[in-house]
Amino acid sequence: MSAAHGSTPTNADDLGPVDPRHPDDAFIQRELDRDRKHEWVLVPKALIALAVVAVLVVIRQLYFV
Amino acid sequence: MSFSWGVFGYDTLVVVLLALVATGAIPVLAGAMSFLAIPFHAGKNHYRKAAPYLPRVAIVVPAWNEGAVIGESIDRLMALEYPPESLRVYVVDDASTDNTPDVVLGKADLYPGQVFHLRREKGGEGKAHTLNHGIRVVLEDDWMEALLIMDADVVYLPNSLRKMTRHFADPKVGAVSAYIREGSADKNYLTRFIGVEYILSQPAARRAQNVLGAQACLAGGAQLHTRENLLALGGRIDTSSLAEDTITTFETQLRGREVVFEPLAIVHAEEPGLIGALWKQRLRWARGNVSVTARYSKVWFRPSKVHHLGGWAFGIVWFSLWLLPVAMVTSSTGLVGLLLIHSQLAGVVFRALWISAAATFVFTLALAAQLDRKLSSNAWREVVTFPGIISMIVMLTAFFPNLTEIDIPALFGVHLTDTGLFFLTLSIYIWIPFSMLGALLAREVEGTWAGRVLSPLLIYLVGYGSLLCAITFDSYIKELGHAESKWDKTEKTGRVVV
Repeated sequence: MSAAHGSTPTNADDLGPVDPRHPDDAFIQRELDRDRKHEWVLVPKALIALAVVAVLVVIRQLYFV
Repeated sequence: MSFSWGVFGYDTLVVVLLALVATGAIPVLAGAMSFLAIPFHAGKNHYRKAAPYLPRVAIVVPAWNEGAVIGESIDRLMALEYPPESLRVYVVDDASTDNTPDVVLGKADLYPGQVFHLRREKGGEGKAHTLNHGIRVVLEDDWMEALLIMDADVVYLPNSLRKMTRHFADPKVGAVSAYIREGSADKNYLTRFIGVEYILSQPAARRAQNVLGAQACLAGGAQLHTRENLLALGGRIDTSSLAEDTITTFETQLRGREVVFEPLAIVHAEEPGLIGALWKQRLRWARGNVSVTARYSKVWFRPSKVHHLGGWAFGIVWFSLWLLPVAMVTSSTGLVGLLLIHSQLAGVVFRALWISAAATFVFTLALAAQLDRKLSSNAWREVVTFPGIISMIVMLTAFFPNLTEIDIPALFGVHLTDTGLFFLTLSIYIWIPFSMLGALLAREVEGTWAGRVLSPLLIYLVGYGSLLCAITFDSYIKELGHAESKWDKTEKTGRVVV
């Protein structure tokens, strides 16, 4: 799973050396911290979506009203 | 001061028609509210209360003639990035007549003490009965600390289970659901539409439900329960309706336990590639939702300190989806009525309604496309045409005045007369209910020689949402007619890839 999927990487290697079948607490905590921070990308993504709507509104106001 | 009954009657009629039109605004506003809540998941999520936690997990897999897929599913479960000594897989063979028992017994030999074959000699009663057979077995001793319910064909990404279990570090959490991602290898237009729908309904809408504090439904193929929650539910899954997943979700929350959606735990599933199969699957879900709505009649819109299912926001979102086809019909009726009585308000409210709908659609699809970029880029046609090409033209008509009625016809030297304009406007106003008929036609012609081209074409034209609304409408008819409630298994052929 790459970051291009809109998710966090699957590979345990990305968060440091660890036995993937026996992830230790430190590894899981790092993963958790990263996932928590990852959720903040929702804010710019929502702003981009709002910007698309805003562009349509501007076009309407400029050319169709 | 004189009083005219004629004017009074006209005004009353206008008010009634405006009220009908307004019913169409409710789902639009509910959708906008829901999707605007998504960015708040950045701060209002369960990650702060989660912590490293790897309980002993029993995985119960219901299987009826799953010989084509069950072997690989077991191998993938055994390869999860999770301590193998804390994993057990119980395949409940629901009287399969294919090679399912041989495949599972082979895997039991390969993974001794980790894979178990449970056989039901009397099968065909439905998934909940099959699950309960396995749940009874895993509850016989105290080894199991968490129970994962999954489908035989789904494929868990290696890190998915540990991303789910971390939420159980918080004892208030009773169940966790993962993101079921459409993962068919041989995708077609329909599976791509389903993929887009799943982005909208899971990493998008269920994040919003995390923010609201109430989840509508645990994914049937990826739901993890604590032992305590399972015992509180009576140690069994409800077998009285076609909506066992939703009932489990509601009962968990009604008992004061939280249900968390984990968007980063990803599970791939095979979804129907034919409208007929999708219709059968979704009709079962939609009829289940009818019974859930009735069963929890005392929960809706009654805020509680124990759970958030009775909150206004959750109730509006639930009923907006459930009654969407009704809203489509009533709203169009109101618009047509205003047009027929020559009310100046017809154009105004049409524009207000459809501009809101267009803005909401654009926002939701633009946001959803970013939530799963790989799937969205592979299904960009379905993302763009999700509302349906004709509905997009209706939105353009509302958003950009004169574009479709005057400017575009003028490009071809066509100038509409008043009569022509009236019928064009009428066509636009009645389009939405008719789009459901278009979806029905797509299903009807699917098996014919023309269906291979005509069915996809119709769905692109009328919109995938209209197809779902048509199925919901069918569920009303089936429920009102007390049609037999039958559990139909969706056919799976092992097409899932990671």
